[in-house]
Amino acid sequence: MVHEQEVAELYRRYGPALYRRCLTLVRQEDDARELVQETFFQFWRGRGRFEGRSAPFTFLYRIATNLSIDRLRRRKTAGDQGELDEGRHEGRELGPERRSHALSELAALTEGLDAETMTIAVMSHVDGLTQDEIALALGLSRRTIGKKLKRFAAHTGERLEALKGRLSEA
Amino acid sequence: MSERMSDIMLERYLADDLSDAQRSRVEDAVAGSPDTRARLDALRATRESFLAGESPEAFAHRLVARLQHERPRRRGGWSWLLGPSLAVGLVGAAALFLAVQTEDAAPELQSAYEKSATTDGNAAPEVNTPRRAAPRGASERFGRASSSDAETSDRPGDLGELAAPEPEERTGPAKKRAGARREASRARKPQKSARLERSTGSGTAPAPKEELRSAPRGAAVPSGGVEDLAMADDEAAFEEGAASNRLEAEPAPAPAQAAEAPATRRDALQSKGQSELGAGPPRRPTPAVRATLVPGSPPRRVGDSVRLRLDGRGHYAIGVRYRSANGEKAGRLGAVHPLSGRKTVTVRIDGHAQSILVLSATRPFNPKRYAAWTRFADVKTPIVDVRMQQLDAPLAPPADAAADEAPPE
Repeated sequence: MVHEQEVAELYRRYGPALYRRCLTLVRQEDDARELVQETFFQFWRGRGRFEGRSAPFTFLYRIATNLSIDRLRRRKTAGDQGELDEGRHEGRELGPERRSHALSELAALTEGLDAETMTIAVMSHVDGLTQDEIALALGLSRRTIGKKLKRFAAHTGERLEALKGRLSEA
Repeated sequence: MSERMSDIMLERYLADDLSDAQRSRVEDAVAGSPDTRARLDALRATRESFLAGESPEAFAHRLVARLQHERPRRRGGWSWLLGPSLAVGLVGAAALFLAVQTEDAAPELQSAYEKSATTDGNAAPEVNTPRRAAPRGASERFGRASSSDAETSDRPGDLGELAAPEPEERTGPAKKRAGARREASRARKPQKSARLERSTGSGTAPAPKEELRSAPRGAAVPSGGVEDLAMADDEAAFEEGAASNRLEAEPAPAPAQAAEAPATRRDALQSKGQSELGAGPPRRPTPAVRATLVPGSPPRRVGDSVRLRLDGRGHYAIGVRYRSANGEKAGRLGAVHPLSGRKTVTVRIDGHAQSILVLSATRPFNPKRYAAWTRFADVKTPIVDVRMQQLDAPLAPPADAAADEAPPE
């Protein structure tokens, strides 16, 4: 049984952060709001699996990232790269153009990866966070972050090298 | 210099989602860096703007309505039949297979009778061919039976030898071998000729055995021979005779003997294994290392510790299982340590632990091979039970866990 009060409290606390996460990736406000709702929907529908494992934020953040990347994949398939809201949601490390490339490539590169690895990869390669920052933000050990990034690198393989090459050229 | 703080940490700070230590770090970073403070203010403004777009109460109402309207996913209306129908299908297939196997032998028997009943005088009724229908190993014996038809008809007492001309003249060593077999068979089955005479003589006057034997090969069948037998009026007597002849000519091994005679070496090994296993259940080896929970309050919170008392001689590794969603692996397996005597260890529980497992073996082992044990379904019961698992045979767990799948520390 879902109580509206619980949902409202969770939304009040985490909704804005999730919205920023989605907006950072999909770069369209309507899409971002829709994804936030979808994130909460999936969280509540499967909350039995999340209970007691870690903080709700971690799961919500993972779901939001996963849904955003899925949205990017669909856009890439449809040939729509979305609007680029320069200067407002750019990461610290990547410029807007490089960021656009990175998101586009990442959507393809992360196909088949689990949500946690993909979230960590996005935080590392798109948001430009260090492994320590990712570990702190997600409540995971640095070793786990390193292992997930290694898995990501192995998964993407040569395609990641090509992406880095293109990003450095840009 | 203040610590660099990511936007995510600032978001969590605003959401009041940090521990006291993390909150202090963020506050220090904000106090020591105007840039961080500016980012925090911007994030705070964005939060207010976002929440102003749709109030949490309205969002919650909409979401709850959607959750309530969505029915739990169900399998298709017919899919519940899938399991039972599959089982019925398998049983049916097995029954069909058995039926085919049974019928496989019956036509052979029937055709043999039909052939013997309709054959002309130049062809021998193969009353001994029903050996194909022998109850044991019918399919296995087909090839041998067909390849040795000529030999079979050479046997003494067989009507084929007596009545039919040889399909091809035996010469040289083959003929000698056939003769030797004939003699051996005659010595082995002294009752057969008498029985054949008895059975074949029920309808018409049979030719004396000596007369038939003395007839040259390829010569016409004497009166009262096979031709008469085939045309006998008393069909029942003929069939009875044929049946008795079949039983005499090719005695099937007793079922018990067939079961006792392993066809292959594997059968022999299996048979041996069965007899060995049949002696009793396999014995569980005594754990090399015994582990007991030191009495005390069981831990219920993250950060609590469990004390284990270990006793024994061998090697051990201690693992902790944690809750997991979707059966994902979640666990930690420590290093392998030797033990000789007693020892008390403390295991810190830094997650929602389910159980502690002490793996032990008499010899050093690679703990990564046993990472698969961390795979478990989601459970709600907190710690603690202590279980021991002896890795020495035959209790070794599956070794399919890849080394890179070892749980994180």
